[in-house]
Amino acid sequence: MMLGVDNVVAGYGEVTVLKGINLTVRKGEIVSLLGANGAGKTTTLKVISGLLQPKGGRVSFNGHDITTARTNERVKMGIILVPEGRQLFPRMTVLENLELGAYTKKARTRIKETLHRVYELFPILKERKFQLAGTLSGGEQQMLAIGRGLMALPELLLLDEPSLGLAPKIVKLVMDAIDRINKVDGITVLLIEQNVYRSLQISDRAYIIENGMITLEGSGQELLNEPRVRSAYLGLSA
Amino acid sequence: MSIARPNFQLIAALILAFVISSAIAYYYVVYVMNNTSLLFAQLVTSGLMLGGIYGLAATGLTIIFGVMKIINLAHGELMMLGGFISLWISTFLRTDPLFVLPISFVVLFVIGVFFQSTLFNSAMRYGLNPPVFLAFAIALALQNLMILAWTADVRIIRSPLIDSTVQVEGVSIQLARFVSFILAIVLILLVKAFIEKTMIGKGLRAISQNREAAALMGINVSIVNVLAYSLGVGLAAIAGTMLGMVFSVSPLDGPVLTSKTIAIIVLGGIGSVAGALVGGLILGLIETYVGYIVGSGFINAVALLTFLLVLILRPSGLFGER
Ligand SMILES: Nc1ncnc2c1ncn2[C@@H]1O[C@H](COP(=O)(O)OP(=O)(O)OP(=O)(O)O)[C@@H](O)[C@H]1O
Ligand SMILES: [Mg+2]
Repeated sequence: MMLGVDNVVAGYGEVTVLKGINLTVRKGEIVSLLGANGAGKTTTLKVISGLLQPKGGRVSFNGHDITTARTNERVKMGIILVPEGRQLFPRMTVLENLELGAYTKKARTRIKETLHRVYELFPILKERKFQLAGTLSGGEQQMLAIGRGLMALPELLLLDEPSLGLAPKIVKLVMDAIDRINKVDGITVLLIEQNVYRSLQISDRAYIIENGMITLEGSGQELLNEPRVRSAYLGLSA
Repeated sequence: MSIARPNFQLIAALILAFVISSAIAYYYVVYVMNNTSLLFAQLVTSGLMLGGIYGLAATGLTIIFGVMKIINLAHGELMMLGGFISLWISTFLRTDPLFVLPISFVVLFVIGVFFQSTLFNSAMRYGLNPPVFLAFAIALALQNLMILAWTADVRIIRSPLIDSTVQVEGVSIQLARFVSFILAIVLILLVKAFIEKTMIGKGLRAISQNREAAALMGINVSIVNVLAYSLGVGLAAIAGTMLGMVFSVSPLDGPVLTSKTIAIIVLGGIGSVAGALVGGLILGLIETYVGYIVGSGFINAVALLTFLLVLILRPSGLFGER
């Protein structure tokens, strides 16, 4: 087991959002975390990446307890979050954003090859490398956010709604890239997606989160056939 | 912090500010007060050189703001503290204050590390207001401690090495002012190169643009906070010493210097190093013009007026990033 989230309780101030979350991710998998708006998906990824300290429970990575580790320590271990809303550095160029992705020592030594790989996945980034990130289109920004995450040489890549607000063509491009990142580069992925159908298709397993609790778990194919998922998230008849 | 990229709008605005203020000053000095244009050249030189020192102090303030998002209300007091420490060490070691500059920088840097890692670090957990109040409290405490230690008297930091005046084409230049100016410019350029070229400098800029994303890159945000504050305070110490060599230092000058440096970074665009330099140059010039034409009693009012004018005309500053 690469990532273990064990009975995690977390929230903001007095408000408790996660009420005891359990989930695991094994090496090499793509795992989806699905749920309605406000269910606690982003909060879960914040706990895993160390941006939010849980009130209870435990997070482990490759056998180490990382519950209290700081974000920068987790990045060194290979846990990389591509956050909701991209969170680029708007007044830096595409290239500078990518370079910052490779901030850790280990990533810095391999910056050339990784950059090459990122340009291969998203050729538009190469064309735009001297453009300020804040002036990119939504799709280009999302590609840059993922590319910046890849520059850190992740072992576990956490993706928070990478296709939100993108045109269908770009959604396909991004989802295909995620699939390739996993299959070709061997990077383990934990994915939050609105695009439930497509994400279940590329996922090995998936969790459904409702109101801060995991209510359903199964392989991508199982959940695609699950009546509750079909009616609530896919808008199909059960 | 902005990157050096030509922005024609701001270059135009700056040339405009320079030309307009200089044209008015020239008119008064030469036609109303019947002086020679040589005297006007004298004013421009002294003003720009003073402005370089202001620019250095403001660079410190702007870096602190860029990273921590708080206005260091103790900046002026820390400048004065730096000045007094230089004076004290140079007297104690019997060396020229010029050689003491690096020591003063280090001493204030260490004080900055202490303030940031203890006081500010905990205050920052409660939002943006507590650290600003904290800075204000530090300002009050420092002012009183300095009065206790050195009395409220005005002191001049005399540097025998550069305590003379040279004539260039009929314009007389105070050597202390000239050397301070050159040093200030060099330091500002070094700081700019540091934040643009080094990895940790890029981390500093990343934090200034998006703190959470910076942490996600693996940047140790707390260490960079400490670095930014200490560097800013160290630069203030150098600028304070230079002011002591050109004019004087006094524990009572802190608040006015804080206001001036704030005015400068608002003028130049908060968070921009180039803006801090240019804002400093403009303030130095305008102060010198006003000091000569209207009288030195009005100099401090100028900073506040400039500040107000910029806020009204262009809230994001001439070098504004947004
Ligand atoms: N910084 C915050 N402060 C207070 N409450 C927050 C904060 N961030 C999120 N919440 C609340 O926590 C709950 C879960 O939010 P979260 O962002 O985890 O949901 P989500 O599943 O990612 O939703 P979405 O699909 O809309 O992104 C919501 O009710 C939200 O209002
Ligand atoms: Mg979310």
